[in-house]
Amino acid sequence: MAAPYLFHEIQPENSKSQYTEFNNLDFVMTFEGRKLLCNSVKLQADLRITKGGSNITDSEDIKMDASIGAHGVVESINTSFQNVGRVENLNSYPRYVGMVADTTTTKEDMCNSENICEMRAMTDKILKVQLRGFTTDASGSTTNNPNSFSIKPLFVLNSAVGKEDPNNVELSFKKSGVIRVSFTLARVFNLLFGNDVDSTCSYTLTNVRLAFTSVPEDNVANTLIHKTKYHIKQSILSSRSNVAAQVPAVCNAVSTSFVRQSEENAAIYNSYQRQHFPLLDQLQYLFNNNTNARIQYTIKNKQDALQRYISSFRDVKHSQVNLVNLSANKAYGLGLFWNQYVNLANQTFNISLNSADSTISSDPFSIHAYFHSVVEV
Amino acid sequence: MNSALKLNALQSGPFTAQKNLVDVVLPAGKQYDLTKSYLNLVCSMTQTDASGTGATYNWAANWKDSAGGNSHNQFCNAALVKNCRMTSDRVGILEDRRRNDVLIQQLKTYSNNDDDFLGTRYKDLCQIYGQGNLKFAPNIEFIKEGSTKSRVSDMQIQIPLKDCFELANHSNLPCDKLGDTRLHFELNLDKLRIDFEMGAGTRTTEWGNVKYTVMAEDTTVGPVSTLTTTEKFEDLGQSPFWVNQRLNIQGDISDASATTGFNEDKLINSIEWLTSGADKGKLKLTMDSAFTDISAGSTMKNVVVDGTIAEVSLSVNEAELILEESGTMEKQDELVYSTYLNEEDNGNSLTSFSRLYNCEENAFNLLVCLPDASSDLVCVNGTGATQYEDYRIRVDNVDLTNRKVVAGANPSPLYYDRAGMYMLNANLPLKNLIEVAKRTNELWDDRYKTSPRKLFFMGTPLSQTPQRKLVQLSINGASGAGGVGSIQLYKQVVKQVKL
Repeated sequence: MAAPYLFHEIQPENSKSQYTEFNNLDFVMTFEGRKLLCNSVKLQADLRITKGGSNITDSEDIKMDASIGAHGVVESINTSFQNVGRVENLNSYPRYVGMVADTTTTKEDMCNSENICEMRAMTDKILKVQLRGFTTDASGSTTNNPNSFSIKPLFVLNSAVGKEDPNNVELSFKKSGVIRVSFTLARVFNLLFGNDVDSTCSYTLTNVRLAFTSVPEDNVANTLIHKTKYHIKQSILSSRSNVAAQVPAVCNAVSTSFVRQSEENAAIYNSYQRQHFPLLDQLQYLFNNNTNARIQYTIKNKQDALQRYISSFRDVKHSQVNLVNLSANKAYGLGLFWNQYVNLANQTFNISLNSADSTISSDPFSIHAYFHSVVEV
Repeated sequence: MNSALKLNALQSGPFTAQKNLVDVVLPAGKQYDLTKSYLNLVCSMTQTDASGTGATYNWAANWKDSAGGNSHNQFCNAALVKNCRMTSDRVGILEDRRRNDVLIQQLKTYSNNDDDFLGTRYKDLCQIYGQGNLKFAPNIEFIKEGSTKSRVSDMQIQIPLKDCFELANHSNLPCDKLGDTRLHFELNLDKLRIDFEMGAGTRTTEWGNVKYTVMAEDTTVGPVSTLTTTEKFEDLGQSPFWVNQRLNIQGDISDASATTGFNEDKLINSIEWLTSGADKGKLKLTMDSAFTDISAGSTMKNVVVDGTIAEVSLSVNEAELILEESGTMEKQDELVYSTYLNEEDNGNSLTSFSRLYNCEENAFNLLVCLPDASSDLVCVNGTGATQYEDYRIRVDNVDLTNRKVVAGANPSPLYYDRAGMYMLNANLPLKNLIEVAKRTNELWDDRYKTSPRKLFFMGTPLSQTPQRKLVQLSINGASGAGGVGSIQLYKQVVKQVKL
């Protein structure tokens, strides 16, 4: 009799003793005669941060974004099914994780075990201490071990809902075929930030594996709906900007965040910052260039804009979007939820921004827009 | 697809303590999702100081006490609506909520936990101190790094309709059947006061930590227009400084022979968060002009900064409704919903209070709110000593409990059980039994201090009956603690309307 639940653990196809920035982790998931339990896929590894080849010390200001944690090692995720083709290509993944954390969790939530195992923390300062490594329980031990983590990536395989029964998230191998998941590792300057981050800093991943769960094939047909994201990045070069996007999918929301281009992919600064878009005077969301079908007025106020950003993920009342964080140039974003799925393949979606900040032209922003879509399998 | 639109109030502004009525009409023929709709009070802010430099100042909204002073009670935006009513052309009165302020303040305190409150703080008018002991005004864009000036914007006070009407929990309110639907609000603007935050003489109390206001010594010869903090900052959220802030700078110029003090008010032109050298992590503040001069052999020392004096005022200029029009029309033949009926009474300071009240046959929940005399908003169990020791409720001569429900400083399990029963029957989550009235002037470490602001909850489910019910409330108060004062009875009833 086939095991009812089977826990799989697979190694990357391109197996190496350790991985670092820009490396690819290609996982091939096979589960013949079984069904994958979606929402159970986890990436696990040991993380070691070094500077000049040595472990970092408490005097060094080297940290990771506490809301993102170990998700920050993954720059992008590409998922394809043998029988369906590519189902998601998610770029700038850590920023998306940060935005989800900003809008759906509080700092205290980061103490939950589901977040602790992902190396998330209440503050960057706590994570800074953690990154030095940890010693064993043995009395007087000076052993310094790397940090092990287990992250549940927010990607297509972990965002499934059953169409007939929402709790039935079993994906038959007969439908999907072999699933290939490719993770591209982030550059060091994106994962790490702090005043002591420089070109001698590096990180390595060891013991990398992908874990998931499967159940026996019961030959019962079911349909799964997976949430997917489409990422679009553009430059905001002046105080009056229009961001136009055409997305090859049906979408029901868009969430955006901003970062100064001078602080992106640069040492010292947190590349994944969700920075405040300064002195925003007017904001408009337009379908098809001229129809303001969803919001029939120009948004001129911060609270309204932020409320719609939070709703673009789902307003669970827990969020880190508060006035202290906003004043600290963190946890800011814009977004819109539009209740129903609209095909954006044949129409343009525009975000029109009007700011009073004259420094934008000399120090431009990048806008990262994530369109929320679904794929049915 | 739902559309969000803006409807102006029938009255024009400015709205004041005297001119405090707002009416908005939902047009007939459509269905509306009121769960996402809100009343928006658009306010302009004036900040003036003697210098005329156009500096940006921080401020805080507070609730007045009975003498017009600061009650320091935290309040939700919906507490600004004292009474509200929803009527329609074809059905008449749908809801008429009196003293919505007391009701919503009490219910929110018990149905939201601290994280829930934190999650909506970005749009709350009234702010309390969070971790870091700083609070910032919601309408100001504080720029804490660089040279872009911080800015004062219009303040927009969002009052969710679901905090005013039970029907606003309806995602398809059928105005196609109801006809024009009028929302009427009576605002509590006479209770709102605007206070200056981080003003003169507040560096020890309102700046997060007094050590942030201590500046480094300097020996560079010449006019001085920059200051560097002595503290390092891990996070700009801890920083009490912003560009275009006006600071009072005091310190000494000292050499071998003498010490001369200086005291100047200056504006911050730019802030740099230092990233290298011995000072990395510290903030370098550059002022609009020099505030002192250092001669050869002298040292600038003992430098501290503080706030300056200014006046801040808020004017409610417009009222508008942000309305979600439903993208889909649902066929509806009747509306079944609950609402609150209010009965107002006074206990005349009796310490052994007992009185009979009539409850409607369709009442299924009874909430008794005893707002304190000072704020007339928060149901605090005494200011200092315990005011209400226990209570007991009888319905049609039948005791609902076989013993008194002990409240006071150490409430009995039965007290919490009754609170849980009420909330369950009201279809509200009971998420908070900390039972502390939050205050705007207390720092993070004191947020759960129970004295003198322990809350009091008194409520019970009722059975729907064929005839009106007689409810007897008995409340025992501690002698010398004031007895029973203002009583607000909220009877939650089921209503049914044929469309």
